This record gives sequence, C-alpha cells and structure tokens, in this order.
Amino acid sequence: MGIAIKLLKFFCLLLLIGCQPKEFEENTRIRVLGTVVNQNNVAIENASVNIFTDDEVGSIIIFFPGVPTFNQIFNLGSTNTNQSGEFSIVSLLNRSNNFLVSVEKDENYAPYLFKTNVFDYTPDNLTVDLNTITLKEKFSFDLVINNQNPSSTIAVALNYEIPFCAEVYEEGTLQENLSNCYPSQEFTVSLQGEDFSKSFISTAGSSIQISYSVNNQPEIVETINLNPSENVFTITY
Amino acid sequence: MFLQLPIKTLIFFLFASAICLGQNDVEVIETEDKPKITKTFYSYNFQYFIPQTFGDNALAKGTKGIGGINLKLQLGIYKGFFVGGNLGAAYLEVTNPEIVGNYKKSTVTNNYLFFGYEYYVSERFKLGLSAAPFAKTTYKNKIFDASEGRQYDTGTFFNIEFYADYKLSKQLAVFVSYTYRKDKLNIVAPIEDQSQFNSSQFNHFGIGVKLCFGNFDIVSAFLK
Repeated sequence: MGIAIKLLKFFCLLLLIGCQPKEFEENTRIRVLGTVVNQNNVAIENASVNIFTDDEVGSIIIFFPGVPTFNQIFNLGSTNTNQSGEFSIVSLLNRSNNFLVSVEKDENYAPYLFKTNVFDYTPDNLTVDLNTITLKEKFSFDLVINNQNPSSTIAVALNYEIPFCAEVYEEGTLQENLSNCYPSQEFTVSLQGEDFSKSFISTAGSSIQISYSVNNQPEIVETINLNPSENVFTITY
Repeated sequence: MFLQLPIKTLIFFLFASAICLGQNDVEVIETEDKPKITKTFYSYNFQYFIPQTFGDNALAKGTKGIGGINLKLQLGIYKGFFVGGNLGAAYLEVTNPEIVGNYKKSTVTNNYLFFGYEYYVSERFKLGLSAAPFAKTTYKNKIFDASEGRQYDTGTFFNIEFYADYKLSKQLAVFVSYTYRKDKLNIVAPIEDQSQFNSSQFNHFGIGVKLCFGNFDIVSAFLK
C-alpha cells in the first residue's frame, strides 16, 4: 500500500515537472556588464556574451535516492561587445545556485566563464559587474625531441598555461579556491632511444617552463615566453 | 495575478446579469413605439486591436505589439451614460531582448471596469468616450529556450477610450476605437535603469462589432 502511494506521488510529481514551466523572479530585472580585452589590454570587439542559468529539478530523489537530478538550462541574455570591448545587457533573474556568464570571441581566444550564486543573494543595485575580462589569445607550440643515440634516455617535464578561465564569485567576492583561471598544466614524458613530437595549445605571452634530464644527469630548466616566432622547442639527446 | 480574480468575477457577473435582464427586456421593446434614436440597454462588444507601445520606456524600445482582443459588456445607465466590464489581452513580441530581458513574447492582461458616455450623432451613428480609472494588469513573459520558462511583471493601469459606432441593424453595429493606456509597473531594476521600467504606454487601435439589445437604460426601466 505504501509503495503504491509512493508510486502515485512519483507520477503526480512527474506530471507537475512536465507541465509546469520554470518561473523566474517576478518584477525584477538585473544588468550584467563588463569590458573584454586581450592579453595586451586591447579591447576585443564582437565577443559573444551569454547569460545562462539552470533550474534543478531535484524532488525525485526524495523517492529514489541516488537518482541524479536533471537541470533545465535557460539563456537569460545574449549580446556582443562593442568597439570598446564593452557589453551591457538587461537580464531576468533566476534564483539559482548557477548564474553563469560566458564570454567567447572565437577559436583563437581562450573562453571565459563567470559563475555566481543568486539563490539567496541579490547583487548590489541589481547589477552584476564583471569589470575587465581578459581573453588571452591562444598560441600553439610544438615539443620536438630528437634522438641521436639509441641507448640515451631523457625525462621531460613541461609546464604551460591552459587557455581557459573560470571564476567563481560568492556575494560579490572572488573565490580563488573554487576558480580556475588560466591554470597550469604539467606534461611529462620519458624516452629511450626514440623521437617524439607533440603539439600543445597555450596562451600568448605566457611562460612555458621546460625541464629535462638526459641520462639521469642534473636537470636543465628553461623558461620561455610564448610568441608567434618562437613556438617550436627542440631537444636533442 | 490572483488579485485580478475579483475583477474577472465581477465582469462575469455583469455578463450574466445582462443576459438575465435582457430576457425581461424583450416584452418592453415589443410594447413600445420605436424611438427615432434607438438607445441600447446592453451590448456585447467583440474587439480586435493593435497595441502600440510608445514613449521613453523599456517596453516601447524593446517590444512590438502584434495584436489584442477584447470582449466587452456595456450597460446603459441613463441618457447615454454607461458602465461595463472588459476582458481581454494584448500580445507583444520582444524585438530587443537586451533592453527588456531575454523572453520572446508577452501577454498583457486587459481586464477592467469602465464608465463612459455616448452621444447619438444620428440614428445610426454615435460617438462614445469611456475611462477605466484603475485596473490591475499582469505581463506574462514567455521564454522559449531549450526548456520553457515564464516570468511575470505586474502593475496597474488606467485607460481612456474613444469610439465611433455605426449601426447596421437594430442589433448589430460596427465600431472603430482608439484607446490610450498607461501602466505603472512594479518592476525593480538597477537605479540607472529604473526609470525605464517604471511605466509603459500604449495606443490601441481597434475595430469590432457590437451585439446590441434593448432600447432603454437601467434608470428608465426602473422609472417605468
């Protein structure tokens, strides 16, 4: 009998979920604004700005613990930056843990993602000011390792910046421990008597640190700034 | 939204009352001589209108009217004075979501009670003026994205309507109308944007038909 009632409740809930559209905060508008520049502080025009939110439909887990919840995604606004790299857009407000603003130029620039929680927090003056957002240009570089002696060994470690920035704010304050802005990535490889090559994508002007040890000799460390004229690193062992 | 229920109920009551009263009035018509100018005891008005947003406000800059319908009941009180109720809605399309918010369409309720006066220019032609001094409204904003969403804005409004009727027969008339409507909205926005969301204004350009019943008014009926 108890199971029958639970099943009935479940199907009623499904009906409710299926028929009831998400309702956003009534009688409320917020403004989202900011300026987009590149790594040289030059304005980026026509960058695409999108505001997203989601609505977690989670009541099902009351009946079936462990069943993942699913989210409805809504685009609350879209615009492009002007000649000065500025954008300003009016948005509806959804009381969600996830209020997201994505900023993208094209495949040549790193994307940016802003996230904040507006479930029980109202931004000051109903304004979400992203201030200055830096979209660094993506640069690719190649690591080339040539072998001249089949019995030689080499251990290489490469640290480079990933072209991606996600910042998390809580009540207007950046949460660095939750953010991941242009994080560093390490790549390692150990070889014996073989050639190797691999392409990487990093950001313009960022530093790449490469350390290698040939035949277990003391490690050699080199740091270079990535630029279009210097994008191939060749090591011979 | 729910506060409008009493108005809707009252308008429904008026409609229902008119039907009952109209049934009694048949005998009166038959026993009276036809006057040169036929008054109307009550009429049902079916109206289509084009809502036009205008003024220095967000709605005027970010939306465009695509149509609207009204169903109106008008009751003659005394010598051209009348009261009535209106049920209807205007439909808006969002043309600039960066100004109003990213929704596609808006349905604006147009339910109100009104009073007015009409002047018989000739037996077939009359001019009328009516006003709704206070009414509540809801803007139902529809978001069509990967999922469907809604958002409601509320407010109050007043309107003034001018119309011209032409009677095609004893019971059928056509009319054209112009309505000015001003809304005071309850929207809160950043200080810099607040003035844009405080109010909205509409011109409604309408056409419609009237089904007219009775050739007296309420006061005259009681005096008889």
